[in-house]
Amino acid sequence: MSYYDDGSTDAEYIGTTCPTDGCPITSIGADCTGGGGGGSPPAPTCPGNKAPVTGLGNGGGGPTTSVGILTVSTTATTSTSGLPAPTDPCVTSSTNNTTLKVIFCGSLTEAEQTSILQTIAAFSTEDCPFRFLYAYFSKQSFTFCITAGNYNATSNVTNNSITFSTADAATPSFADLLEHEFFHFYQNSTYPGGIASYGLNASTGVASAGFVNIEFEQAVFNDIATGGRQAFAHGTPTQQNQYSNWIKGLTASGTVYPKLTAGSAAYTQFISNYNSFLIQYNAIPGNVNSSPITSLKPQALINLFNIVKPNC
Amino acid sequence: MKKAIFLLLVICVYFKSSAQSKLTPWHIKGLNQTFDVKKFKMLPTDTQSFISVYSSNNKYINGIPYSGNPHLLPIGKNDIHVDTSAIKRIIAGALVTKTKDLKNNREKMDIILYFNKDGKIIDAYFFLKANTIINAGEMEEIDKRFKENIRATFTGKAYLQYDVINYNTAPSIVF
Repeated sequence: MSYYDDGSTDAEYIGTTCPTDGCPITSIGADCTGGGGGGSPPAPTCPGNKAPVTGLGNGGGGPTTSVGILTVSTTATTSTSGLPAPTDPCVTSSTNNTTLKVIFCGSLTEAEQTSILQTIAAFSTEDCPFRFLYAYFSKQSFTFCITAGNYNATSNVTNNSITFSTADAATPSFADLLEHEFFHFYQNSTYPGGIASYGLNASTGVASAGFVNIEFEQAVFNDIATGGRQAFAHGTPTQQNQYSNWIKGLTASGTVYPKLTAGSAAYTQFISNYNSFLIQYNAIPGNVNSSPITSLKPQALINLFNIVKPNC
Repeated sequence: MKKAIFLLLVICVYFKSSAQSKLTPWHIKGLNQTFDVKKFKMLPTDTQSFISVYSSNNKYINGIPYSGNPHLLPIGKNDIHVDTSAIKRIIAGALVTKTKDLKNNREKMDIILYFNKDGKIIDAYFFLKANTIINAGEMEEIDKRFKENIRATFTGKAYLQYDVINYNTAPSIVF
């Protein structure tokens, strides 16, 4: 899910003779310094003392629930489950040993448990914001379940549980479901009283006021983190273009994360534009995340990007 | 006979001038199809205006409707693979005589493509500066060649969940 994983860029120039090392993009009729620049941030490396991930551990479990310990460590460990190590060789935090305790619902097969661990491993080694989230919740316990459904995941922030709908969703290619859900846990830890009061009533399907604030903030977070443009995927093409240009402006075409200080002009402008897009997002026909909008500011997103760097 | 030749000449001139029409709102005729042109601003406080240009035959002008499972997350950008070099070649080819003028006008083109599961383009949308020097005939040529030549491939299983796959992360084309 990284904007630098696939080698794509935010702009292509046509007709230029830019040197390959001096121009992040190719062009038609423009020189390197022509307008609309940008491009991809450098590929992630393992600066400093960050060491390769060397193994995953699965602690096994009891008769009704089992517990997997997912370890991303700077020292060699033995994978008791025989799981492959994550493909990204960078560790996720400055600590030497970050561990997320994984509790499985009792109904899960061994294969499903393995797949969930692999999914978490994929999530934990993605873009820097997701590595941050993984490290942020290290040493906490999360319960993972699978129920019947169709390619989705839901989280319950009151008991740290994530439920995948279908076993297929609990696979590494759907690690973006965890990106989504772990940001909700981060929101829960950011806002006083948590975000449970902004949730969707599972039995009635009625969204509480503020539900759209929470979901839109998640979508913007994800689009900034990954270079995707998912928030307005069902909006009109013009809305998508407007939103995309706003995100490009915030991130200097995917090269930085926004750093916003309350009270600054940039912050005020950000909130104004954010609210404008929030209103449009809420009005997209058929949007299941729609709800009455509250005055909740996107503080989780702001806090996270004020901390995380794009080349962590 | 003279009348017929004159009529043919008039028709030719009409279509040629049609194709060279400036892209001004609302409907512009190319040689074979009509394009919708709509003016907008990127942000409410912006002063610069842009236009969206797309075939009037496009299916999802008002957005892609939610599918049977509205909670599905959109397909990740890394699971959609499009040859952006081919996109660039088509645009460069269609605008080869205007390269310098486009650069002088500091033009940029944003593109959104909707694909079906087979990787064929369903809709193409283009976004340009409102004062673009690109005309209707050139846009028609680009739109046509995109639909003939650009194909997407997909990885993973997620794309199978979608009837319309939204490629809204194409790099901007800067002239």
